Amino acid sequence: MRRRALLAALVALAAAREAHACASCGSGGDEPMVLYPNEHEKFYLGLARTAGFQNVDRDGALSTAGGPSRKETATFAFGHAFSPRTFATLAAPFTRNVLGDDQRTAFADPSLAARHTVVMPSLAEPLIPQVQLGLGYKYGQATSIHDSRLLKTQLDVFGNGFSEAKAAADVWYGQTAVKFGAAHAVLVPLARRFAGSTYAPGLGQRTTASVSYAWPGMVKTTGGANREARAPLRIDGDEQPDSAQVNNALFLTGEWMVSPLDTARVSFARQAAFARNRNTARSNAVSFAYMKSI
Amino acid sequence: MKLAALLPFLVLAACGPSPKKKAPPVAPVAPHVEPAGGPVALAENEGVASKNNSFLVRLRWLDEVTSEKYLRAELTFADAARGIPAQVAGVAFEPWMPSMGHGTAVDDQTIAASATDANVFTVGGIYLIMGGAWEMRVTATVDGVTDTAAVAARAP
Repeated sequence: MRRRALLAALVALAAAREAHACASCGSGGDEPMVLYPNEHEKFYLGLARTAGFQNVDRDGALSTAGGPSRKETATFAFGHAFSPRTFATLAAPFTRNVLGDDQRTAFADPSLAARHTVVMPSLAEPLIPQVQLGLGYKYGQATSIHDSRLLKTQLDVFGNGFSEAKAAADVWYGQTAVKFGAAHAVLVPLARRFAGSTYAPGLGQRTTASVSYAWPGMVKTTGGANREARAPLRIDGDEQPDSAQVNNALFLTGEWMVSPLDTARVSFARQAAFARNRNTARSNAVSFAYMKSI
Repeated sequence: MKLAALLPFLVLAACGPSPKKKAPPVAPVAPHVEPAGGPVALAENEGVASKNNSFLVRLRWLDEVTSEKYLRAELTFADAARGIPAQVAGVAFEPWMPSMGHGTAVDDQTIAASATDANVFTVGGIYLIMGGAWEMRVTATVDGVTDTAAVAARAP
């Protein structure tokens, strides 16, 4: 009897979480976790392994990527809810670059993100979606290809070198049998000087569309695609020819609600996976994450 | 036996020029005339002009272009009129990836002037860190004017 009550509670909680999920959750491009309205604080530990790197050039052709053959990242994140509608997360990734027998480890770029739910989903009106607005900031402190001291192997390259601000909107229909949503983020990288020159990466736009289905047994599957496009890079004010970037990625996530407080997630993401990509890198990433709310 | 020993001399005598035969006519050698502006360094369809048209440079890869391996290239400079320049100095070679906004490792790169041609240089230890569209930025002071030319290359 008690077991049945617990199961019923879990089902109800899972349904509530589905209603309050988001389109860009688990897509790999945004913050690693979100807090649901009933959660006050939450921890996240994610382990990701990325390999199969290939360069995609300005014409969309594949070529040798160079650098590490694989990257392994452990991401620690903490989230705090200020109200049922507003929360913030802080994420710190620690990465190991591996090439043959050689390897280097370092902290990659930490990020801070906040979300506010402007429209709450309501059981009475299932066709009205949840709408969230978000702000984020990534601090570009990690060594990049522009200041690498191991340029031949790129083993000390752990970031792109630029801090970046982000503003995003996320719409999620979580009360239908098949849940779905879309998100859009504007990415504003900050210019920085390297070797006497000022590098100003172009404005970025990231669009995510995802579909989710909850299976019996507290398991849900989310699949989706995101497209990230960036305007050309400028160096000392001069636009670099053919430097605009496009990356079309696919992701698939399975999430298991272990208990009302614990969630496990496994994800697969492929960068430059479909359509025309430009000046980016193809890669495959598998990640495992464990989230615990307190 | 004696005949066999004499045979090579007999054969040589038979093949040698007959003292009575006249030598074939030899066309008179035309006096060498330098084209206007001196000898030509690069043909009409060769070379890439520098940014300010101060010079032309031809890049000839001495190895198959690829990434993550050391490569060599030969640079031949010409003045704006495709003639051999009087002086080429301060040659610098920088591989650059414009679409990505970065260069490559140049710590093992060497540049050596040719022992015979003052306008020819060999660049060694070129290391392209990844595949894709590259630009070899060649800077030089040719006849007193410093300029840069960009020669395209693609590594698989």
